[in-house]
Amino acid sequence: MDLNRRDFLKTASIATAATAAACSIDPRTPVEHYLPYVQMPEDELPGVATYFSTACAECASGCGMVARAKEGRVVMVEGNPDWTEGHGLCTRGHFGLVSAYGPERVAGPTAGGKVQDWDSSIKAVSDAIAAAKAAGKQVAWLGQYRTGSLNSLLSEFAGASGLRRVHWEALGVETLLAATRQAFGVATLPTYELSGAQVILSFGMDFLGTAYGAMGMAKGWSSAKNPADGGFVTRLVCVEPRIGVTSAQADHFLPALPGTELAVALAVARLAADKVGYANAGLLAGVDVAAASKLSGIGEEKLKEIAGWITEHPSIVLPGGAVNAGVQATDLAAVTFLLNDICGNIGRSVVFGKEQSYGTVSSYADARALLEDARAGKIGVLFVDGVNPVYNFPEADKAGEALDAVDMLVQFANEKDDSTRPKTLLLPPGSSLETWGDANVTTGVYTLQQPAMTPQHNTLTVGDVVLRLAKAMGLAAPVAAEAVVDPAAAGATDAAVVAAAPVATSSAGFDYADFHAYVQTRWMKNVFDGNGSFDAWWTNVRQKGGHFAPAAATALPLTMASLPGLPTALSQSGAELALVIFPSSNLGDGRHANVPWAQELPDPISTNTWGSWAELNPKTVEKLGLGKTDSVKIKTASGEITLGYFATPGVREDTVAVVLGNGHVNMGNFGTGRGVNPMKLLASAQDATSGALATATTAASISRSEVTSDFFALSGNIDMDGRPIAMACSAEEAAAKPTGEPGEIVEIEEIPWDRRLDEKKGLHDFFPEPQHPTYRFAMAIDLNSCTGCMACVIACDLENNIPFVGPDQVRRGRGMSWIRMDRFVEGEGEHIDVRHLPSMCQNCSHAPCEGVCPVLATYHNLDGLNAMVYNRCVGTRYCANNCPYTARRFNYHTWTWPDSMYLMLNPDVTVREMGVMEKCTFCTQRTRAVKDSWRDMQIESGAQQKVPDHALVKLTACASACPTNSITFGSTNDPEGSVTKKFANPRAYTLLGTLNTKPGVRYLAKARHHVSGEAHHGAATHGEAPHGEAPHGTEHAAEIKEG
Amino acid sequence: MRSLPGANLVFALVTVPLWATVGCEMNTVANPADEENFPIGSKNLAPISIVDIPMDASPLEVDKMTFFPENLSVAIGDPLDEAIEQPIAFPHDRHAGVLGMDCQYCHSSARKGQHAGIPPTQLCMGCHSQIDTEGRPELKKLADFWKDGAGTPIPWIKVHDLPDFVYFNHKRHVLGGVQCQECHGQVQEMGVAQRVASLNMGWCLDCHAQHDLDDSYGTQKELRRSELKDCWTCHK
Repeated sequence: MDLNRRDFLKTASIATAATAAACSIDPRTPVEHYLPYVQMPEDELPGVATYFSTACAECASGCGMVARAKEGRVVMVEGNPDWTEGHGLCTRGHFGLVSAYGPERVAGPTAGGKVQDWDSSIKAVSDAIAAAKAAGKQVAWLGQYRTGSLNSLLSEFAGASGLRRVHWEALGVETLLAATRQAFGVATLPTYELSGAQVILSFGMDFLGTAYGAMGMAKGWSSAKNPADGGFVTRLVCVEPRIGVTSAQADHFLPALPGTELAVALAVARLAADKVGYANAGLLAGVDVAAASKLSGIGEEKLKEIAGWITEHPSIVLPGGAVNAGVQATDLAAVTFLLNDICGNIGRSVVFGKEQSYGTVSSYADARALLEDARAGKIGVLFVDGVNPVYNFPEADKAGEALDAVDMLVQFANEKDDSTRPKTLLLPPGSSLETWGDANVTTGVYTLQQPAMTPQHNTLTVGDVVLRLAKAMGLAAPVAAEAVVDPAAAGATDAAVVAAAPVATSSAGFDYADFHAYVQTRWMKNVFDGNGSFDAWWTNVRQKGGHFAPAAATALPLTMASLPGLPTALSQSGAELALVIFPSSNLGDGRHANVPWAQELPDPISTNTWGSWAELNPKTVEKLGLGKTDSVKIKTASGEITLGYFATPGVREDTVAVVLGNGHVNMGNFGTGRGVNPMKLLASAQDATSGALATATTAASISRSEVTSDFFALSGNIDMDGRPIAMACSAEEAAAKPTGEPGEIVEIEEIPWDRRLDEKKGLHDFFPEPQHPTYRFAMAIDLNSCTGCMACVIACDLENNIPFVGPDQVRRGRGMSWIRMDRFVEGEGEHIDVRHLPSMCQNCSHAPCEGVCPVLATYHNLDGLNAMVYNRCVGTRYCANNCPYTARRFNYHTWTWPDSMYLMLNPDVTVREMGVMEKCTFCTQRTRAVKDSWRDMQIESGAQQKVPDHALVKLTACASACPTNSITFGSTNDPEGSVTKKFANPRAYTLLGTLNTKPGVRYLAKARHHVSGEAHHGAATHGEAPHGEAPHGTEHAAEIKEG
Repeated sequence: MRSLPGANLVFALVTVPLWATVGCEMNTVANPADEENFPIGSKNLAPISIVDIPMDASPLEVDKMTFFPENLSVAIGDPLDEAIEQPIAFPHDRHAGVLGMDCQYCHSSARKGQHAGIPPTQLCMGCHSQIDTEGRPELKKLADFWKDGAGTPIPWIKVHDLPDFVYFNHKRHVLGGVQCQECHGQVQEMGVAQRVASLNMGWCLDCHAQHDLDDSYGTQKELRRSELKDCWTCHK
């Protein structure tokens, strides 16, 4: 019998699967129904997506966002290219989509576990307010930051009702506001423009991660890192105790002794002032550089060097963040403004005029005072809006007791959280994808939040509740002092506006039809310039997602009259470590803990999922005698926690860093009981000036615990072991050669192979070259600006219906994300070099996976894509075993979503089930769709047309989501295409190019000012025979050349 | 042609229902701490058929014979000859035949999107609000579904029901000049619509591999044909 191996396998695998399934099969697919509309919305087209420009509401930054709705349900969110910061949406922005379909959302207003109607809820609240007033008690508001219309409505409501407003967030901006008051005499937040900064000196601000306004700063940083005209690559100096998303990009990581960052800032200021002859040098006369150097542990030479960099080049100095929030946090931030003034950065990179505002901002001290009053029985009604005091306050503040002590507790939340008490009246405000709203953070930049789908539950926005409450209480709004536009004169025809506007200017009260009418009226008064028709303007605003006209940048004169003295270092006994609490880059301050994808998304640094961990220096680990599965017990005067640890050289030996975000006691099915809450370790220490919570001033004793660690790093090895994976090159060379020969700086190993084949005529490729007549879809990933923030990973998960698998299955290596964010750490000390590498299917031209598939379920198509056909796959897993990039994921089970989340699935992508292999497809549904629309044009025009570069460059979900424009998509068949140009960059290289797989993905090496020896194909070794301890990769490259 | 000697049988596994079946197995989610609560559904398997395969068949031919043989009409949807009882016995012959209405008057998104679309009840009532329901029970049913716009959707049964991992795009075919009747049969002569073609992959590929492409493709004709046979044309 003439049966070759391939045919045998084909037959056998099919036969086996069939035999296994041969019982009890219904020969027909189930009967399915079409349910057409009774009345179809005007612009609805079945199967065609509708896009809504809206605003993200996952934090108060107010970023522009586009929601993609299909058949009336939002299935994807992306950045709004029309917004000031353009493309890109951060990791947490994506969670809004998942939360909108949360399985545990309450169905309507809920009291005592029972769902009730809105009228009786509003009446209950207004009665309670009346009762509180009668009893001489206060009505108070404890909420998250609110900007735009809701902030103004709350101001009016507070003005009319005597509401006590406290807006506090755990990762807030109160320190910065106090610092600008100290430095400039006005409490305002500057906008940081990083794009032109050749040197960035940061004192702990997480400007690529959890900081407010991070999207804008990440964009700026990206262009400073990759300036269009070359010339320089920005140098990042980070003075903070721990390597996080931002400090992972540092060229100089200087962990000062915790608590002494202020000394570093003062010393650098003194040296810089001396260098430039600062006019107000007298202010700094008292700073003792030698003492500061001794205190902080950073050498005087290094301080001088930093002072030199920031004064000699356009620079920017950034203030502290959560990791440096000590008792002198405001002083530290104020000195950064002094530093910026010395370097001439005020008005250049630290700009006012278009400053940022987060509405009413209260300090931790204010919030704590509110809780104290509540405990004392002085608060009658307390509104809790989007904050979680029980989770985010230190134990000593007894937030739970305070909430229990108020007569009526009203909480605006879609799901229950730690702060929901048994008696809470829960008022669900609905998802931001279902409701009207707006944001106004930067002066002149207004983002509009409009509903992209019908509400799924009986919800009412916070604004609507306030309006109804004001009406029920019979309040009269204070007359607005703002200029009044007559709606009729402005050409408005919208009934709500015309009806509402005259009332708003009278004293009749809050008589708006709803919050939508309030928003519209406010926009008419404050944003509309009065030219032409308001309706036409409003339509335009809704299409663009807002009104984006940032004010001009100006400077403010520094009025600082005195300087703080040198700080005292944290007092800790020999055995104690300094405790640093840092926010999780996925869960933020803990608000996203009930989003399963947020839990499963690996942390960019530790790569842990579904839990908490402590970060310890390997030397500390050794000292404590910790085994791999051991936990650590961290004990402070306030409490103790036990958790797993991650050994990283990115933490000082005398420091322990603990992640914030998990450790909830009541946060739904996905958030409850995972990890620990580090806030329980804190006393209520405050920053002296601003009253902010000082999270970095506690000493902790740490010991080994018998409890088995639940820490699990997806990237088990932090070392590249000399393999050329995530490459780096020297910044000087990258700056000098923004364009040039491909692989000039970083060797593309593929090129030597080709050259070698050319040179030795007798050799030829084993495989025939595949034909790509029209497109060769390809992707260029610039590691220079990639921060490993994980936005691409979550965007891919949501676009491609990738399930979460839960902690147990993740630990078995069955996570399904198509993009794996590799993380490597090279070097140690100041020049510690953290490299991220998003690794997805490389869509090889010579793909090792294709040849081994016995059923032809994976093949190379004409567009250059390595296609995977799920319905052909029989699950042999040969392809995954043969993939050198481990890009393929196997469905060990038929994963399921919570019921309500089936609405979120992208109908353009097949949902895979057990036994099927899957992997990145370069978003084939999107490339297909864009080709489809260009085909329409082709039919119209009658001429052959290709999809142009601009329609491809941000096409895939990952490229669209990337906040730093690091991912470029396109066709290399287009000689002028963006991706073709990136492929020819001197920094471009292919991953494992020696295997001759000819990938469709090329990486652009990271440019660093100091490159650690390993895996560096830099100028020093390029073209020379390797000598001494040559790195493995270099050796290899040289070998090939010689061969 | 050489065949496998003896019992030259190959088992073919047809259709891996994905989206819809997953949707049917929705499980409530409880605390995910234990495995029980990350529920794992059973694999859905579908029909088996037994066919002969010549050993020198090309991959596409193997496909057509094993995965989607012509005679395997039961694979997808109902048998061709089974009449379907729709909630309203809609007479296509009257509308498209006698009255000569264009197919796309009702299925208007056929040229605009991937779905041809079933018209909203509102569209029916555009004409039928003028037509007497007296003695016409089917029209009475329509009026009951409409209820002056406050009714419920008519639960039509899908006649042309593709598996959920197949992405058929009406627009591409309609704009490409394919007549509705080429796939749906002489609907203008049918009462309640019935499926006339198997709609299995082999049937699709008959066209995609052999259909005459018009001359606008010029020299790219063969390329276009290869593109039409790419799996990702319909599966993604």
